[in-house]
Amino acid sequence: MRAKNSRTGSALIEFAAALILLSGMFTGIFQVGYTFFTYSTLVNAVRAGARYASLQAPNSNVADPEFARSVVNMVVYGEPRPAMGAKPVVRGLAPDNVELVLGPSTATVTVRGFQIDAIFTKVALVGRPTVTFPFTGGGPK
Amino acid sequence: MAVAGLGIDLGRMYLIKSELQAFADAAALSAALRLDGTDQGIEGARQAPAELAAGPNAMMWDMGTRPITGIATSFAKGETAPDPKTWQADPKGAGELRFVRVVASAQAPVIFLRAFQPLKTDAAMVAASSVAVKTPGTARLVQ
Repeated sequence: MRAKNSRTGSALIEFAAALILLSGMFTGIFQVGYTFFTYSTLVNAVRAGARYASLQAPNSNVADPEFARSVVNMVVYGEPRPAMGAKPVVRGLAPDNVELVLGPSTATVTVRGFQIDAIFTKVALVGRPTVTFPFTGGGPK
Repeated sequence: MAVAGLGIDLGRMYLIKSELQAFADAAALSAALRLDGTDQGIEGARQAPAELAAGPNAMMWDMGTRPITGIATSFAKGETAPDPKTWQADPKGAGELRFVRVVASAQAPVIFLRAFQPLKTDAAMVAASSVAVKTPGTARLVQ
């Protein structure tokens, strides 16, 4: 009887040890995976915004704040004029986090002051990702 | 462990590919815009990608931390699509070269996948390619 009890006890300790190890591993995998996934989404969003600016700028009044707003919306919501209550492509991303710099013939879109919140860790993004496209106008892509 | 490693390494490679693709698209357009039928145009087009990879707003890879250095630019003739036989990196005479292809590549670091590689190298090649065409007054992406 005593032998059986002691075996149950060691199984419990083993389980506890394995749980600590495994939960640590899973947490790490989640953090890294979620960070990569979010950053990848941001790269594509920033590219979409910069390309949108590149296509629209030659036919738009770039001094109009509405133009900058539509570019920023393209990054944050995936469309230039999102409906009320639209969800950002990345959780927590706000128009304030997106910087648009228009040169004489280029549009640069940069993410600033945004943190990827992977619950157990936070990755601060200052000035990345950034994408610059030349103005082209027209075109489907 | 192996599956987790696979996920992390492949995820990182996929992310690097996205970054290189955004760069290749922008670089191909910038290069195509500079083509004007002259040798100077070709020279300018060749420099355009490097300019996007430098400066305070340089596009980078590996979560925006490393400069893009593996850039190959080539040129081709063609009407609606590039003529595959005419691709050349160092063309003699600008002639009717209208298409620009930019291939951006990087050696993505791998941590877990190393165990499965026959050569056990610590990096894997990731590349992205983009083709743009010069049209009157502007340029567009074709591939």
